[in-house]
Amino acid sequence: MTTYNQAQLRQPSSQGFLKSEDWWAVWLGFFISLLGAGKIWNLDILGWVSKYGTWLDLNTAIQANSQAFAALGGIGSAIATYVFVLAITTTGAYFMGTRIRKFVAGFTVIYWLTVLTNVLGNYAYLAATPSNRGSFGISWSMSLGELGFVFALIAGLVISNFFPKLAVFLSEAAKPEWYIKTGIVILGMNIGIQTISALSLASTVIVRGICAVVEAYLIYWPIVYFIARKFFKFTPEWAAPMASGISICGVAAAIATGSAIRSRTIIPTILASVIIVFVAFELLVLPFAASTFLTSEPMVAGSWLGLVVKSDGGAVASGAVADTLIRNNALTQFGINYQEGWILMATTTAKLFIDVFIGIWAFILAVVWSIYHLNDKNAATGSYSVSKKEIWQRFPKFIIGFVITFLVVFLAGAYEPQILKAVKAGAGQANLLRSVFFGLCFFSIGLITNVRKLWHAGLGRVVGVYVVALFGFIIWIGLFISWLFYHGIVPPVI
Amino acid sequence: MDHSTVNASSVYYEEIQHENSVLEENQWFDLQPIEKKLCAYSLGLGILFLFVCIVLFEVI
Repeated sequence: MTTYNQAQLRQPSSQGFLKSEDWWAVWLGFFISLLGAGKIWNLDILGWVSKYGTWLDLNTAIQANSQAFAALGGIGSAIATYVFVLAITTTGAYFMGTRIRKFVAGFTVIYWLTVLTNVLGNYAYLAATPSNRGSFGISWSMSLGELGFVFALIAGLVISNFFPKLAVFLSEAAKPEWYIKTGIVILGMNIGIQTISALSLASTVIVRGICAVVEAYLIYWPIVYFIARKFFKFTPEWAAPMASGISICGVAAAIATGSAIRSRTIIPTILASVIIVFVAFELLVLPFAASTFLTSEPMVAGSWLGLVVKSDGGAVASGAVADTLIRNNALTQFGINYQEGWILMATTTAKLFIDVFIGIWAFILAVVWSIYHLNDKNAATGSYSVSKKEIWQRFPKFIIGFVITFLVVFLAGAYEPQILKAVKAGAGQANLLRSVFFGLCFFSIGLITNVRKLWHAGLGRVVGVYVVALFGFIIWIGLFISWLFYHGIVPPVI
Repeated sequence: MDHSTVNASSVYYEEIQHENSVLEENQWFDLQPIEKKLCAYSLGLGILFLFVCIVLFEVI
């Protein structure tokens, strides 16, 4: 087996523009972003990409994202997405020297298994949030958003641990680093458009939101990193993605940081799985706590949820729940009828700038890790200099792709506001393909993981750091910071 | 199982062993100066920024 080896994960891969996974992540990310941008010229190029929705009726689980392609149906759009992603990844795999027949065969199985796990993860009783249960006519649900990724990971684990021959067969297409980096480049487009859209929000919320996020990140990150390194005995390779993921930013931050410092892909994936489980807990408890104790400070509550609930979907869902609960409480207790959406805006603003800050922080960590080789015990504890050329060689190029897609979309939106709506729609379409790449990554990680050994080796410690950090200071510092920046500010009254 | 399959499987599982070894404590080493510096700068900037914000939003 040659495709998936540790040398590829640990060392800077081949540096040619057409030879390395890093650069191919950039090319694929650019290509998909460019197709999404077709919306600017009224070209619905990605309208056929599958959109997974929460479902009770299986027929509605997958749909083409654009009405123009509704005739494709769920299966048709899934096939179209498969053909497209297969074509572009096979092109990249060919130039990187992968055995194409085995890649195509393995990719096909992996893709369709992730479709299955995605559909399963969106089942209404598992995925519906408290705010959208009503639309499904159900009285309860587990609110486990993004569970499809966890199922993909589990499917990979099952195959890896119980069907070794199948695992070997699939391994040619199991390229978690490549998939996740491609997804992150595409993510740049989405964050860029969200940022420019947010600038139209109330300036007070924006300024205070940025301050709260920078403040929280600068304080949370070093504390979580220190605790993980000093007391839970994690290596820097684990501690950095853990600090980013656990502190405030969750799944995306763990993945981006892991890739930026070139950690093994298993690390951010395991962290992301733990984070997703904790998000479910946070989503179930924190909005109700906010509505009980922060009725008189609604914007503090919104910001707090944005800082503490660690996934984009979970944070927005918790903000929506809190928005409704707090407005109802305020009306009942004080006779004040707050305008809808402002509490949610505080949550989404915090989350948005967290996502922007992830890019900046990942860049800083990438430079530090490139120079000091902190993932390598011998190199990190030794003293030797490193040339600028080597720093460049070790620098994860996909970060450049992420920054470029972010800046292009941000600047285009800033200078040409009339294209905003179209770019937003295009970014949304590209984002669907990002989810596909993330799903492929999670499955691929499962495929290389021996869960029993992992648990014995200390997975429990990851949960330990999370619990200590969350209940020890993240909730409380987040509350203090939110109070500092938002206390006394209330939504407009109707 | 032919030789090539055995070989592929053994390479595959060697890689799995290596991948899963990352959590083992014997790979741990104490915080390096650059890590301490990174944490100190981040926390220091955070606290400094906190005071600046308190002055900006509360005092002025």
